[in-house]
Amino acid sequence: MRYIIRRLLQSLIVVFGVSIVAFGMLFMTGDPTEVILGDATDRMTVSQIEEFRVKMGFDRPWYVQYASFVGNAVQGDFGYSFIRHQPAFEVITDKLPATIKLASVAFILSLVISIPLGVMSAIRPHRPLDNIATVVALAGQSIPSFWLGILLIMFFGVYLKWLPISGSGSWQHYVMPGITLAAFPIARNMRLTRSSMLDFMQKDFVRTARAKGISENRVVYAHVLRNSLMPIVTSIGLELGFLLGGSVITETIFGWPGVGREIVAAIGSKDFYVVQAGVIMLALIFAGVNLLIDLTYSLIDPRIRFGA
Amino acid sequence: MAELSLGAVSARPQQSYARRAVKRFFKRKLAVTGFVLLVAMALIVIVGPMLSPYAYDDQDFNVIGSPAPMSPEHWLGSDELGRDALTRLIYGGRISLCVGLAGAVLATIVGVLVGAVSGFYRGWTDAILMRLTDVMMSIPTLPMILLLSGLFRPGPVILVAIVGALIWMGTARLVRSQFLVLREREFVEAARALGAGNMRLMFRHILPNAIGPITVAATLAVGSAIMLESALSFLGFGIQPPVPTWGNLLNSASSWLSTAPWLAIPPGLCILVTVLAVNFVGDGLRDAMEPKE
Repeated sequence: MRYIIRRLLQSLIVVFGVSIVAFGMLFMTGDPTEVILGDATDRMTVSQIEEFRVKMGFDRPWYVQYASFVGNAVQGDFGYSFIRHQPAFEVITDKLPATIKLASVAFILSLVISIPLGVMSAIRPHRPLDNIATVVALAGQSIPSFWLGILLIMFFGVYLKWLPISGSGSWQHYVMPGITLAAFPIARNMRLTRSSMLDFMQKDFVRTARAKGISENRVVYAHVLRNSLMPIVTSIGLELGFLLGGSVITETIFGWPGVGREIVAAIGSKDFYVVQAGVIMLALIFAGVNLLIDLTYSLIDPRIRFGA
Repeated sequence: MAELSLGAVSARPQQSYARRAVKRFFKRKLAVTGFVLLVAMALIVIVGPMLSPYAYDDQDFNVIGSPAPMSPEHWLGSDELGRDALTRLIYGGRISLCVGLAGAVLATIVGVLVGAVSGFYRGWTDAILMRLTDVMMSIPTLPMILLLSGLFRPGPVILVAIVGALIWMGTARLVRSQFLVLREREFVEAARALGAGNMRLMFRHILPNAIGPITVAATLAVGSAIMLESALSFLGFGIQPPVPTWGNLLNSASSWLSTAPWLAIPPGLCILVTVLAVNFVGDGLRDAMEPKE
């Protein structure tokens, strides 16, 4: 129980910190009025700008502004997008389903590919299959996702014309963005599964299991793999955060109508409130998923609740 | 007197440790491959622009208008403005590598300072610094960095600062955990008994003992920094054309994917090879410096 309370408190502090950073972004270049108005200031008189400043409340002390920012944000009010003519929060929540769908596809893809490959590698270490898989995994961790996306587009989209190169809709639209987004987690989870399996293979309880005379398959799947999955479960939280944040690049390349592309577009057009809402939403999801995973983890593994 | 003998005791095993680590490092094929690749890459980007007959923004009016394929004059072709792709690739490598290296150095310095102070002083200092680290880790890096560079329109220096400011957290956690363990060891107590101050304890006694993991983290940070800079330039928020970087070369190549695919291959391949080489070296260093593993 104490662990749960401490963990909850930590998440609260993180959310508080993120809110400060997101709020502070507006002031980083100096005058928020100029950031929001952008080039429009050229066409406005000084008194008009001043009027806008007062209307937006930028003349108040920063802590008052912060309090009202938090007060509004809690109610889902992140300001109004003058470019989209829509509340910033709505702009982001409209795009959230598309991002979550793509991230889920990539997530499932990464687990389905990485864990079996990692197990195969670990069963026969340093054999050709393992060596190939290791090199591929290293490459997968080092390939820039935007280049992988471009290669896929050139080969399957432009040259073979098998898959649509941009947009969303049919299942074919998921293939290339899904692979692009999943490449890094596939590589990482594969190496993680492999090393974790190899660690557990050395453990006494595995030797005992073998000594009892149960089949090798049962030793590998029921004894080693089940234990090896624990560290992978831990990394899943970070993974989901990565998938949601990493979607910025993938969504931009493939014209996927999600939060990431929206944020990039909003930065380009200086649509500040949308950026703020987007960053906060992504951070909240990330913190929430991690909290959930840590709590589940503490339920599965009592050592975490009582240790430390 | 006491000072002298302490120094002598700690200096000897360390030297041979370093020598043994170097030996172990060069026994690993992948690590050596990575090392050789990086040295070659560095030489090419330093010497290459001097050998090329073109400057990175020279325009060849024979091939201007749309991207031209490879030819004896332009080994990797030329872009739509008639600029030599190979020259731009090599020159872009200079910038990508420099930003990556400098960003990683900055991130390592910040990470070591935060981690050292946090792990050494513990208590409230630790709590505050670690929550700060958590916050930085929960902020989606890419949107944040895009926003910063969208606001500041960065030159290389600011870009390095932004990259460094967003990738120090892993190093900080690592250094903190090292310090938490090392600060309890007898040699720290001994140095304290001899009157060493906190600064001296932290940076002369504890830090050298954590140098192995820090080196590994710093190496791997070079990879992340290069990747981050390329992503940023690819999205159009990093270094601005006409100055080339691997990222913005890919960005401009992406408008010609169906007509000039040869422009999109080399910059990505360079990023891949560099980051792969850095990771090989990092893995090799880890094995060489922590032989227990």
